[in-house]
Amino acid sequence: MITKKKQLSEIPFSELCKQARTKTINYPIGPFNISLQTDIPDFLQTFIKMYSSLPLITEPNISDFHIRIKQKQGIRRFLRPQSVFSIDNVKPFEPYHYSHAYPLGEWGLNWCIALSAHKNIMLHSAVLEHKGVAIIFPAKPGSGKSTLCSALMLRGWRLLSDEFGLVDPASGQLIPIPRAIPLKNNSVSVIRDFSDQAVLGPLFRGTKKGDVAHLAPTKDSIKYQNNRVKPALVIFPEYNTNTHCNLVKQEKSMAFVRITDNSFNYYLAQNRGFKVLSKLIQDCDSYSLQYSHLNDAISALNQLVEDAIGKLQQNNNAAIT
Amino acid sequence: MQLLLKLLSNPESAASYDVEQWDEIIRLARHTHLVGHLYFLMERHSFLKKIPSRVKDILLGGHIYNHYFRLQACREMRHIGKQFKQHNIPIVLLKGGAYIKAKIGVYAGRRLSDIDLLVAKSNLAAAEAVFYKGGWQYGEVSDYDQHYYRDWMHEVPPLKHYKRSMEVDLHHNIVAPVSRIKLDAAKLLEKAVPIENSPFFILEAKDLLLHSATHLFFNDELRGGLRDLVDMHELCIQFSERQDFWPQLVARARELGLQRPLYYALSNLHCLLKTPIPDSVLADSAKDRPIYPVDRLMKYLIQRLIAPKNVEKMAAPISEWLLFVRSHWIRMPLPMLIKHLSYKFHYNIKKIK
Repeated sequence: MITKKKQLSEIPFSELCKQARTKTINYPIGPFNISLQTDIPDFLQTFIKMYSSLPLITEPNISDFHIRIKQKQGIRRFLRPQSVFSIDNVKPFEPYHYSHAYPLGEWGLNWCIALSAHKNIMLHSAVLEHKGVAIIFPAKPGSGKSTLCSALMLRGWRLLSDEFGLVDPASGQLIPIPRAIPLKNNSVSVIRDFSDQAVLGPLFRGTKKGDVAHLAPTKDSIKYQNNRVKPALVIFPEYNTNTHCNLVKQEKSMAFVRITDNSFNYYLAQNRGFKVLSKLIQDCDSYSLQYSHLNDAISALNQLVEDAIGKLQQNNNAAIT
Repeated sequence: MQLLLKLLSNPESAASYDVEQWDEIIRLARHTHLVGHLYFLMERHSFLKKIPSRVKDILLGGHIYNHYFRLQACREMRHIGKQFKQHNIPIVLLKGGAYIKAKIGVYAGRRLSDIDLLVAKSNLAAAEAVFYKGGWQYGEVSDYDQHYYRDWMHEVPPLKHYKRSMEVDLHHNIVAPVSRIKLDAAKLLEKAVPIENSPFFILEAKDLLLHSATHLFFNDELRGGLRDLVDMHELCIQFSERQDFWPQLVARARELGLQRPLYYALSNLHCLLKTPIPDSVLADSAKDRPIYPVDRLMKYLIQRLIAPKNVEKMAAPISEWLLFVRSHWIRMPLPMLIKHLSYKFHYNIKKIK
């Protein structure tokens, strides 16, 4: 008999708070198992909103990261309460304001992954999949990557990741890690207005990265988080207020340089990194995308996906005949 | 910690752990910077295919990370070697750099964050000049720091090449000149062994172990922790085949005045990592232990810090502070210590303001 795993939202809040405080909550996010301990109910409230359909791990398991987000103890907490992030009793950051526990937790986990999960090649990129066509969007901060990524997801694309494009070196496949998308400053209202489907967390004002609110991954993105997929396209997005939507094919050499430039551990991975990314660029068509309106960008990308599917069918037909 | 210690002392035990035990081992290994070393151990004993795949992935991550820094270290050493080719200044590689160049046991799994070098004090100025000419520079060093390094310490402020990020620490002794232990570095240099096709030397086998012991137990507030102890474990295993290693080790330590750190090293290796040390050597070295209450206290503090019972006990502020005071106590006469700590205290207060 297959027993259905309990999802986060199916557990009463008070029970979850108690478990998180006295024991741990264990859950899988993409390839990683997380063990979480926290005594901050506000954190959990946002956490549940972001990952309501996430299955919990109840059987004994190996966790990749044991993280804690706790209220700082001592007399100060009555004057100016703070939240502290720690992993295996190491505190890598200064404490944040108590009310910023949630962004602290998300960034803390990013830090843990970026520093230790070198088995995979890690790209600083969003990754989404539509009709079987997976697209990597490598981009520097401020290029509008998260906003575009959110908009595509809200139009039904599957989110594989917003921050970490994880490439498995053995298969060349993309490993999903569908985390909450941190939207900054103006992007928050842009996405709120873009779709009434958007599940947004509270707005955290004045964090180190400005005003931040998180967008929950769609249920399907969570449901299929173990489905790995080969990348088909690499697109370098750039938001620019004074431009028409402009999709330009990239030379492979240029695309290669740009993708390595947007990798967390390309240098660290040495020749493994070179092999994986050069193969990836060989196999994928690359474009640079400039846009000022989300809807224009989305239609251009939908068209690319249709073209890619058409090409694939042609190839299949050619193979049959 | 017992689980990690058991795995380190007996890698074959890897076959017997369940997932909860592995979970604990991973946490302990991450905290002690031994993730990459475990990969190397599992590889050496052909266990990589027998451990859970999640564990293997985590260890591999640590291995890749270490490997990168090891490559950086090798490059840095190559640059240093090239720079010193024309000069007749013997340079001794210490610790990680030495293990790599001489292909000694631990090198495959070790993470290196800097290059430690030893030159004769009479060659120090000349060596500094060669570095300077080659593009190495001192970082931001205050006048006080200069004074601290130049007058009290056994090394000059850390050097860094302007194009690279690897730190180079240039020493003229392995203990501070103002320290309670007086050591004649010439005795180390005269026994140093040249490395073929390079201007580098490494310390003789016994001295290599003695330096690691001194570094961990006398210089560094035990900061290297379990990882340094694992280095020594590997050195002991590798050198045990040498005819003159065990029989002459204790005598060499006494000759250099390093019998106390050797005692701490051997007793903890024996107790924590079950390192195969001949009984006669343990017994002989035990003659150099401190008086009973100090011995007990040190044992408690060292094990509390290097090998706490579990992850929750890994941050131990009070033991850490006691050992910090102790390490300075050994390094400096009391008036100097008070001066130094009060300066650092004021400086930190100023920084907070």
